[in-house]
Amino acid sequence: MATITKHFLPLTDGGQIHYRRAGHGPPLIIMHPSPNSSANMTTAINAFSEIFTCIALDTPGYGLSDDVVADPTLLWGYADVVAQVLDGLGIQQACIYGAATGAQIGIQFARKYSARTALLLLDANGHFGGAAGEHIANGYFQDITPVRDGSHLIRIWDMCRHLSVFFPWQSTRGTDRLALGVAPPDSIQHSVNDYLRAGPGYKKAYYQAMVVETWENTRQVSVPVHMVRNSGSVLLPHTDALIAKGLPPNFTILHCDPPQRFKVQLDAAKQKLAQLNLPTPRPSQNDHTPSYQRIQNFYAAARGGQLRIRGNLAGKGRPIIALHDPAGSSLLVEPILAPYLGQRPIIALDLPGNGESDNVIDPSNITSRAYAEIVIEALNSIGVHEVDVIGRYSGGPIGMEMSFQHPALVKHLVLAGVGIYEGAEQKSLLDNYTPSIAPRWDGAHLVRAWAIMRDQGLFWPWFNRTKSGNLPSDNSIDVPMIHLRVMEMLKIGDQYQKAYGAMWTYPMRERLPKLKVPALFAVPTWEPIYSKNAECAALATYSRTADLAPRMGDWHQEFTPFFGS
Amino acid sequence: MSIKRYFVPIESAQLHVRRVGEGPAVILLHPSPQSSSFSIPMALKLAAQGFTAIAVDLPGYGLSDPLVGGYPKGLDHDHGLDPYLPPFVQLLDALGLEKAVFYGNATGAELSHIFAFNHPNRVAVAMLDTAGHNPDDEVDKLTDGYFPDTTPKRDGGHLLTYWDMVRFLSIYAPWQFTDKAHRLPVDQPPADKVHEKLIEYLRAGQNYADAYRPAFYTAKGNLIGRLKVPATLTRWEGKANIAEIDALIEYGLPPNFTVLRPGPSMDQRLDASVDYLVQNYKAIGVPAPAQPRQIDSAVKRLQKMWIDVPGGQMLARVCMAGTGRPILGLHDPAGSSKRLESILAPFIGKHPVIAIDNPTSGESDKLLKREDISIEAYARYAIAALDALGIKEVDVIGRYSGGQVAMEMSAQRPGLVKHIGQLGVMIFSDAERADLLANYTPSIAPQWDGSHLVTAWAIIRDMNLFWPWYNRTKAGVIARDVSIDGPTLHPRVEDLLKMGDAYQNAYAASFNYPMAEKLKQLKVPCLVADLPGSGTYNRIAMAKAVAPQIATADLTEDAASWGVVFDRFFAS
Repeated sequence: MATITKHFLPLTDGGQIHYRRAGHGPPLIIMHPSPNSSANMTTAINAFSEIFTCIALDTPGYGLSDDVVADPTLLWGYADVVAQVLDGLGIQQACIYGAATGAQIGIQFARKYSARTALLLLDANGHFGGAAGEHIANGYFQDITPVRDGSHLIRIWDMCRHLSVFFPWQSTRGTDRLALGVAPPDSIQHSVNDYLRAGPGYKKAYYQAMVVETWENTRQVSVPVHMVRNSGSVLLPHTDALIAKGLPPNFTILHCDPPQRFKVQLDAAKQKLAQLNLPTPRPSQNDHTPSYQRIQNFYAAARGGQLRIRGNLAGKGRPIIALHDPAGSSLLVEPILAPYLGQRPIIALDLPGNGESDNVIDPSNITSRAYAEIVIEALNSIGVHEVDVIGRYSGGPIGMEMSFQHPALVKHLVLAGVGIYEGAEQKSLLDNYTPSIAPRWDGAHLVRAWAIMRDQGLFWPWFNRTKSGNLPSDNSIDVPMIHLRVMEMLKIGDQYQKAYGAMWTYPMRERLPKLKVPALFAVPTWEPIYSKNAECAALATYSRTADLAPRMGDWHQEFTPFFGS
Repeated sequence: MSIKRYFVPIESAQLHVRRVGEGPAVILLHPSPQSSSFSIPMALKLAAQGFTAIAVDLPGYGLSDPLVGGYPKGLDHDHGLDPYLPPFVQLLDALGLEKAVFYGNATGAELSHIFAFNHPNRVAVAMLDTAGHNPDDEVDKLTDGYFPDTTPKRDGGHLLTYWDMVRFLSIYAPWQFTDKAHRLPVDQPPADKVHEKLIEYLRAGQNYADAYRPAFYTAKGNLIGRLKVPATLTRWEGKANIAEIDALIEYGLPPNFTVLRPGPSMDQRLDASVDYLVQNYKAIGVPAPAQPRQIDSAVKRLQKMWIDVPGGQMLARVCMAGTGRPILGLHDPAGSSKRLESILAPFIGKHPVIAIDNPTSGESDKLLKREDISIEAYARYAIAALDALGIKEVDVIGRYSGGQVAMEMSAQRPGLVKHIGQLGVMIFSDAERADLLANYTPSIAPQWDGSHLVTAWAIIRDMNLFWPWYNRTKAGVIARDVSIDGPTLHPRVEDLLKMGDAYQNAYAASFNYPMAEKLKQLKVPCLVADLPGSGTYNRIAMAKAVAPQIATADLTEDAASWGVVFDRFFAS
């Protein structure tokens, strides 16, 4: 298995392309099917990294790449981004591998940038002309805009699940039935998460790939092409249709059964590489130097893995780090930091297992203390040695533990939503707050996840659906916010039970008096745990309290004077 | 006194009623999108005081047929309920009532005053419980987003839309609002209560807003004030938004109105109207005649009827036109008589046709406790239903477990069943049986989040894709054209959801039935048929192997042709 590292590459307009890198040798750009990401290409990366430096891109708008393509027509804009990526990596000429949508982007790139394409490797491609194309496209792309009843999640599940039942997935014809078992729920959920990352625009490149997937377009490639005919591919009839129409002599067809899919390509590529002189690209940098005045993605290192940060280290003074709630991610605390952009370095970090961070925490020891150790390591990896911490809910105890473990690191601590949970209340929360959302065969876990997050806006605790649990709030069903929270919750999955457990069981009463760092206990007045704030503040030595505005974007008004104190 | 259910034939349709008591008639009309079951407490109180209470399912709701031709487009707000007037004139005619009291809640109240205005000579008293006054622009705001589209989708997501609506009816008023001011200070009902309400939405279907929406717009003082007949308005202290009623009173009501002002309890609310009728109408009202026949025997289509059996009533779909031996249709474990309509179509007009909902299935009364469900018990009730109809001989078409019930009927009452046609034959090896019992029927009990709806949908969908449906491997693939679109799956899921976890017992009864032994003993001519390529097709050969005397047939994809195959066999 190759060592795969993840990177963000800044483009000249400020957008970022996310990619995975592995291996040494001539560059091979790897492009994935829609609407997935380079995370799905590890088999290909592992195979090709034997002889190549693999650069596996997240297509713009998919995975973690920004949607930098203004005009998707016929995928030309995507081909241009590939050229920009080569520029950014200092690569003049590369081999290009693409599967499905990736193959079509590869074709357009090879057509437009033939001098930069040493070899084009096509996998899972074919000819979707005429009635066959219409049959495929008709009903293929469903609207997945979030709706208040959560049924958009079931629609995504239906699409992802039936990708292994029919091709096209929405067909009901016996002749389109795949001789496959349904993918296991975990794997379907993985695919659902990709749709969620891509969002309602998931069809942007996907649809255009279907439009250009024709013999008329494919045959115009003039560079050397290795094209796979995989006997086990769901696209085989369409691959055969393309071959039957006749391809020019620069196309070599590689016949294989599924187990040899990458071996035949590797063997053919080895021969071809012998005739080429492609230098190994320079090492990728994990550059967190801010290029632009916007919140950007970068990675920190910890425990042999990578943690995703949303932030920007431009600005003066001590960095501010925001730590999210148990089932959340950096996206949920980013609005707190946004007002500091350009003024103070800001860091919103996905805790291990959450958001887009590697799950480097020991699953048998998920505690605020263990999280704190990893956050300290991550900050160290990006050269941050002093911070002001904003901890949202469970982020508060993590900030406290950071200050205990590394007193010089934490200068100020905001605890935004902490409480003491003991006795019957603690037991009830442990028993009821986090039912399993493990992927189920029928997708019903999605409905549960949605209902949990929606009810968090209606009741406290959300499972107390009695009159006494009513939360008197306006805009209680904020669909985009529920959707974001559900998306992040589905990424962490049932590990959220342990993450919440760490919060409910944190020995707050015992730890607060030991806190040496100035602490601000701040919470919006509408929060059901508002009354717990003062109780906590009273136990800490250097503490003050604040009532926060309803909008996170206004919280800096309370935090800034505190950080300056 | 017990309530009985009937169908009343009107022009080209049937209305469904619950009826109890003897005396002057009171027509009870329910809120949307519910059914006459809402009116049961009031019906019982009226019956106890010497009235005939007739609670009606509005056209398109409960078990009443929809408006003939559908709800028309383009009506203005003041006339939005007018399409419901002719069916009620026809209903009174069919019931032999020159006049009746009309008592209604919410939509029912609206229909009562619209009907009383348009047909004053047919209404003795118009009683509006839950009425109010809301100007059109207010109603526009209240109903914006109130009626989401619930067209069945292939992914089943429309069930979540229903669930969302039903659940939030007890969180906000109107349910789709999300602000503090409209939050209801109440405990949430348990999941099974939410589910019961959902079933009423499913009965009404995607046109659930037909009477619901216009009823919002007829709740206006200028329309209600047109009434000339004696009328009452109930101002119930226990009502959540009593301000709407007060707005109506304030608007001004004519002198023929009496405002009833009951205290906060439900009994006080209902008793106020009953007392009014006892004092003002009972002595002058004409007793209602006996209930008319439920079906028109000359009509050549399936009509619904209730059949009295020991302990309650069973729903049947029947067509008595035609001659020769009647055909009895029996459904599959989680189905209903509705699922048999296409198979029975070729017999309509040729033979009398009867399809019944098993007890505790479909719409039949829950005559069997879950644990008492068995093929033998189903057969006893099927025989009781035929006895009630005076039918001495039948040919039976049974889907899956329905075939087993037919076999058991022939054993319990020799001579009754002359031929059996089995569409899909439930015969299994011991290993298969154990596997099916363990996996075929996961719980679909109502969950707080509605996730059981997704499970139920996925089970029914996967029954089309795999055999058994839970074998989602390559080996389980049913590789033929399938129908998994929303409109096809929805009625089957609706049947499953009505039955709930009792479906586990119904399937277990079928899996456990000693089919091989019973087939060997079968004395009646029997044809087993299935579709080549279907998951259960190879069961035919298993059946033939143990019982060589049975006939077999391969069916084609065209469901309309299946009845013809059985018709030929029955004629042989």
